Amino acid sequence: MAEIKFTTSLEHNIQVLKNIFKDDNTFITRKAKSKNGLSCAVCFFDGMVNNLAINQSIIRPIVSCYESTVTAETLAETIIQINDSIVQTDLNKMLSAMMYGDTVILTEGESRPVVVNTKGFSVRSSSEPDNERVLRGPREGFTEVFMTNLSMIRRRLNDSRLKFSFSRMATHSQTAVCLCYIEGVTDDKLVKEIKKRLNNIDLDGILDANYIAECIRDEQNSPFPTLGTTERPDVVAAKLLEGRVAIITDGSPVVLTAPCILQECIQANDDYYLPVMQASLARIIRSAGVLLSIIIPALYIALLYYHAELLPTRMLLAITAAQKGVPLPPLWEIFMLLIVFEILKEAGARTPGVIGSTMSIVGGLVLGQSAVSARIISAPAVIIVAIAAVTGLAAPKLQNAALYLRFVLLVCSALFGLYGLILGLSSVLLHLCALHSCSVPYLLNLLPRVNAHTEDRAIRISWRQMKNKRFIAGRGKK
Amino acid sequence: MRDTLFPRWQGAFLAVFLLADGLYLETSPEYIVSFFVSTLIFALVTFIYLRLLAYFNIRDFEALCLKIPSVVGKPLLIIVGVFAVFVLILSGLRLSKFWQITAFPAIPQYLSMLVLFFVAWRAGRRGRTAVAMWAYPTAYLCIFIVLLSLLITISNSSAEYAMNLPKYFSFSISPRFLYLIPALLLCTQTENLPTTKHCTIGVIIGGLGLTLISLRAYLVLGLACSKVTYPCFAAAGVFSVGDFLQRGEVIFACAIVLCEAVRSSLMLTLAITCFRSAIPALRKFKR
Amino acid sequence: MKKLLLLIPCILMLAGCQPIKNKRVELNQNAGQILPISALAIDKEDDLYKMTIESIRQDSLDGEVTPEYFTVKADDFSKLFYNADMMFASRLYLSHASVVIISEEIARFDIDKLIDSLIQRPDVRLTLRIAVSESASPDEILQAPSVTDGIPGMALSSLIEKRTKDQTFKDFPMFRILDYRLNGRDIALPVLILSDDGHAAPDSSIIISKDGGIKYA
Repeated sequence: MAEIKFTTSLEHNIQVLKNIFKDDNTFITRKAKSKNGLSCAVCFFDGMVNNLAINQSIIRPIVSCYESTVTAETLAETIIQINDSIVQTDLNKMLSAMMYGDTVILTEGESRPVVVNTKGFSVRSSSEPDNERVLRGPREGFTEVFMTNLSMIRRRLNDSRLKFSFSRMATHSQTAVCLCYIEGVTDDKLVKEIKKRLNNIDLDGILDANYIAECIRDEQNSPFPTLGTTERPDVVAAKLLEGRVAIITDGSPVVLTAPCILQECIQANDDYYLPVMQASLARIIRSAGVLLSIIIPALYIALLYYHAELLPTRMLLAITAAQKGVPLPPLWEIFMLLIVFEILKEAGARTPGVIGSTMSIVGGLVLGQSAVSARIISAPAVIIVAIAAVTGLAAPKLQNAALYLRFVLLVCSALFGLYGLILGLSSVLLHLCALHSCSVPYLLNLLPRVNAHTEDRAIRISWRQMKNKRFIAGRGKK
Repeated sequence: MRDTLFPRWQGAFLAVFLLADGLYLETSPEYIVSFFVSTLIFALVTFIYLRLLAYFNIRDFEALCLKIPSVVGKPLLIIVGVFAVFVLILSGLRLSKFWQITAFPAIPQYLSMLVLFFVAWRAGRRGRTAVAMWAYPTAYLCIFIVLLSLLITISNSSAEYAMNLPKYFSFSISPRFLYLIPALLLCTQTENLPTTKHCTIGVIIGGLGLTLISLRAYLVLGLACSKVTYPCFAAAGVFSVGDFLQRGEVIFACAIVLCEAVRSSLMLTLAITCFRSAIPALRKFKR
Repeated sequence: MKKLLLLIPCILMLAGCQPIKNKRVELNQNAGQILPISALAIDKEDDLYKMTIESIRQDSLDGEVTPEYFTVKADDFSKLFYNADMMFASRLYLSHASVVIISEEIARFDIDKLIDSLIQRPDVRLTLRIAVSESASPDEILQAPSVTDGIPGMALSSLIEKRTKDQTFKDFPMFRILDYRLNGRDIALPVLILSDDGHAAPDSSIIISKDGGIKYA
């Protein structure tokens, strides 16, 4: 940022600011003079500020002031009628505050500016995040506004030990990033580690939480998420209570949480808001869904290519009958269909609502049906890919992993049948065994009786028993 | 950082290591008895070995080799390393032959061996901790499948063969169990002194598993075992659950192949560890 | 690493391209490559074995499953199977066959050889059941129309299964026969006859001793 220096001359100071923002038409300087000769300049950016506050709480008190000269402190403390007004000696901080919607007040005879919080830019109101809907429970979601997001967390955790540690990152965007944790619950090592990783980020702009996530996550090449993401304040609060840290990025409704373990990925947001039995069953079904989604195309190919003896006779006959006249062999058929499905999904996700649903009907139903009748693809292949696709939606956080693993396992089973499939799956397990998120083993709580920190695993325990048994990241068994 | 294996993992690993033999077992009554006897003897050997380590305040084999003069220690490490490689190759050979005969006649043997070695290498380079951690759920899965397989074929076994078994009792040790020795050397690595409980249980579970698999084949197939290439494998398929899964021996074989993969990875890890300890020049190579 | 990844599709292309040395059949790529067999009937005529094979096919997903019969002859069992394999572009797939019907003569004198050649094939089930035909040739029994199932071979196999469960027949699947023969013990095989209206019907069991002597139970 440019080197700037203020003097006691108001005109000079205004000129300095005007020079800095000389081609910026949103920069506004409004002079305000009282009858007794007090001369001030109110500088702000149009569109970023709350005009009413400037009119009523800044300009009106200055104009009706009885003194002829005031110090910066008097201005900030007695004249300006806004809750957050300080004398800012660091001019760089002043500039960045002004660019973020604060108002700078300069006075004749004073080299120090007063910075007043008048942020008033238009923001999206909080709504339930589209991709994290719940059946029951809070429906509030983060917005793009930093402070509002922090307030949503603070409102849920009324604890003086809740810490928000701020820093500004990226050379151009100077994005505010907040590291949030509960002192005494979160492991100090974890906080230090995350701070270290955050400090090592070297980017010119951070426009979304993912910029940070990619810089600080463990094991970049793993398809499994090693940092949690959420748009729900209640989820962040719950994770903080579990000893995790949250990273809130200005301008992004997505909050990162660390560490992230596999157990989280098969939990839904409303797991803890639903009755125990319902939530536990849902967890098991979700895990089965992910597993099914990954292995079902591979299993089909393995059985068809190498282990037809496992299929009932009539089923085998039906499948071979369906295969007759289809140009592609089953493996390539499944391969192509999976790719086509991913293309349809991608296209559907990027198309506006109504067209999107029309397209998925045309693409999925009509095309699928007519391709089967025209014998371009076989019906069992369509069924298999459809099952894989639908079951894959059960755990949205693992969709990316499921997508990759589906193809990898397909190749494994095409080469070595069921043996290939089981070796492939086992390699995935090995990968998970070796995976860590911020020094916490990724399979924590999931391996039978190893490292279990909590009773709350595949089956959720009731809140009545949770108090001393809940999972605390980075801590040993209680 | 030094690799750490939790006692449970060590036990699981030993069980899996033994179970990996499950496809290729001999099925005559003499062998079945020898498997049983070997299980008991090797459980005792494991127990005594670990007790001795604890008694002499030595954490594991590697530490032992570093304590004794290097003239003896280094060659010992190299011998164990070579032996581990030998066991690894043996695993590869027998598995690829099994696959060629029962499942993939079209896939050349070297390719299937490469697959096993690839899996072993992928696992081995992640270090013992990850491999043993991996062995733990694998052991659960395999023991579950093996037990299930034993249960569903029980109705097809003939009781008279079981009655005759005690006649064949003798104190013979199956050579298959000798391979357990290098496994034992590797698996006891801990931060603290080794404990005996889990490893001994692991050996007993693995050994009993082998005995039961072999016994099942004998009780189900009887003398027909001699006419079948892999009797333990074939006997697993003698059941039917409706019209589905008529020949489920493949599922049983999958569990054993999984054990074989774990066994190979651990042998590879052992070889790497031994060679790196014995020959310092190797330490500069990354895994 | 990336170069290694390129190898995967290359290996994939190779899968199933080698000539099949072993007798096991893979379903590989095109379903047309296998010919599922539901039952076999083996008879002996003029020192030649005659095998009638019941294959099953279905032409479309909603079509009927229909049996097709064909016959091969040879002077020993392995040639019999070899000839059958060579007859069509598709190979015999015996994994789903659950019954073999043989004549009494074969049951008495050639059953060991038959089982030996069956067990050589990795696709044969160990639980395959062997039945003996009386009062009609094995292929007549096999081809006799069934009341319950469109595929006579499958109807026969469920019939034998059911009668074994209610202990009308003694339980002798192929592996048990092999075991008993190696032990030198008598074996019992189910007997199937042709009823008056032309359907296959269960009869008593036939007990065969090691030297080929028979008695009925």
